Amino acid sequence: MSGLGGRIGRQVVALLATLLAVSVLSFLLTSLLPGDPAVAILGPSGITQQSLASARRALGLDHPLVQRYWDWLGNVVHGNLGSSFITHISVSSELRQHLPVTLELIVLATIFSVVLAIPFGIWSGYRAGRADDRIISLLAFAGLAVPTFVVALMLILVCAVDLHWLPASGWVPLTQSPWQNFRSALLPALALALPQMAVNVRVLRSDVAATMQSDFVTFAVAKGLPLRKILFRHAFRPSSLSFVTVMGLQIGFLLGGTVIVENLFSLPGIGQMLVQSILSRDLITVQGLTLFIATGFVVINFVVDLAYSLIDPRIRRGRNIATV
Amino acid sequence: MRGAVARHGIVRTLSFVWIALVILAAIFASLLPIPKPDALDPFRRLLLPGSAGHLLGTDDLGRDILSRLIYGARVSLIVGAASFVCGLIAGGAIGIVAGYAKGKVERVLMWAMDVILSFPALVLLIGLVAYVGRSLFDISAVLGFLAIPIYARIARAQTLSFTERDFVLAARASGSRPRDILLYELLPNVWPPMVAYGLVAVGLTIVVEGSLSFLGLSVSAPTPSWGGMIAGGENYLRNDPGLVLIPSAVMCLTVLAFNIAGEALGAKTSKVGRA
Repeated sequence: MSGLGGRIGRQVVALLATLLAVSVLSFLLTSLLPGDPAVAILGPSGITQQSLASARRALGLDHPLVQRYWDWLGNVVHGNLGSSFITHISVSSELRQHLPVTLELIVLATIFSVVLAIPFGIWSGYRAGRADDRIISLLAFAGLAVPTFVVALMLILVCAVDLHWLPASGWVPLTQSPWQNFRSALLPALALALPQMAVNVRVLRSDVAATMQSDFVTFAVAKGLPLRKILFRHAFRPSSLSFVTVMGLQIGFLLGGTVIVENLFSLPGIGQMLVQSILSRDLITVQGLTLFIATGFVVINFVVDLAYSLIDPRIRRGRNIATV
Repeated sequence: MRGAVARHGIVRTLSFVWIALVILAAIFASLLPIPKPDALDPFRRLLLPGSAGHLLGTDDLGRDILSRLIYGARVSLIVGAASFVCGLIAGGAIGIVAGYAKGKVERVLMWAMDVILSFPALVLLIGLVAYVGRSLFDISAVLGFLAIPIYARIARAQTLSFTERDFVLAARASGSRPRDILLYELLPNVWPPMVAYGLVAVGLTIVVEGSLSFLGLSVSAPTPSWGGMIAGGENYLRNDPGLVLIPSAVMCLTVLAFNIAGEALGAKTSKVGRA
């Protein structure tokens, strides 16, 4: 186990280095690129030599860059991402309000994309090379080419405009009415899930197709076990690990996807907050959000990596041999 | 599985034909017998496809949809080409150097690539665009920059698999300079899989630019773009779904064609590598 401990230690160091780099990049976004935040606050009308100087002093812009970075990082570590130049509301408190919507969408979309992919992926892998596998594979491949916003518009067209099943926009908080909340989250979550489902079907199919060739599956077939048991207990279980590997990548796509979906369905999540703050040139909010999202993404990937090496003893042992 | 779809000859041929068609139409758009993309025809708004003078109909301002599709293809193809060229040249250079130098150089270079990849792509893109700007050049530059890390990873992996091969060792033993080894021994073997990935990445870039246009964060209004057309048609989804469906279909077909072309090329290059 000492090899595993050392590996985790090295991963933590890499994680911290990456987080530091992410914070520097986020900081530099507002500091180095053209556009003076002080000018942004004052607006085009209120600029005089004097007001500009005092605004810059109030923001600490007269300090050297490195000191500003440390001051800023100190605030960030304490959960203070600064206040918007435009609304003067604290970025972190606004973030807290918007975050639950985005998290709910991501969780629902992940569940949908995995649950919907399982039957197609397993069947397609089991029937590898036959006509039904070809059709599923072709559809999954075509699904990769359809952008999230097109999927979302198609879902709106069919489920909201034509059939009037579900609302085309708006958000009902979970605390207000769980059922209405689910209805308002269903279409956006499906729009996020379907492109990911295509990826999952492909991953699962190739895994199951490979597992079906192994001796223990042949043995299970020879024993006369029912097909359902063979597919789920013998073929799916070892293949399900590959979901964990794509999960980290998937969350990156979902984070990008929520930006689109939240704006399309007018949902008050952090994706909508991000686009709105860009359109109003609210750079402090953009900076805080980018930092928050990137940090979350890095940490999630770290946890996924860790979970993967803990779950799969082959990897654990393999790495141990490699490190000895 | 790899190349399973692309193995169907007709599908592959159709994909290459479609890509060629889109590229040619975009280049020679001004020579084609179509109205100008921003010519308003206020009395002939929201025409259905097949109307006289407007093959694919008109949008809510009476602009010709076919013409806007063709001129909009320019935006998609330019950002696609920018990411392809940047990724191939910068990513390729970084990856080959990292894979050949190994040690500290490799660790630092690949760590820098990992940092870029540790931002969710669309979020970093939106963040960068907010600061850099939204002209076609800005968007292409940002998308080109974001393309670099994955090309670098592919180039490095490919380089690593060749650095211990006989012909590289022979070149090194006979006293070739590192620069010559990189250029004449490694580069010819490293670029084919990068081009295969690059075609798929062009499709991905078109989707990303489309998403950005759709959000109103890409090239500004008078310039037609596929994502912008889809966003503009959103309000007419109920009565004129064609405004959304036609540009969506063109975009998906183009992305699909690039994916198939990439797979076809990938299957071919990996076969060559094996032989």
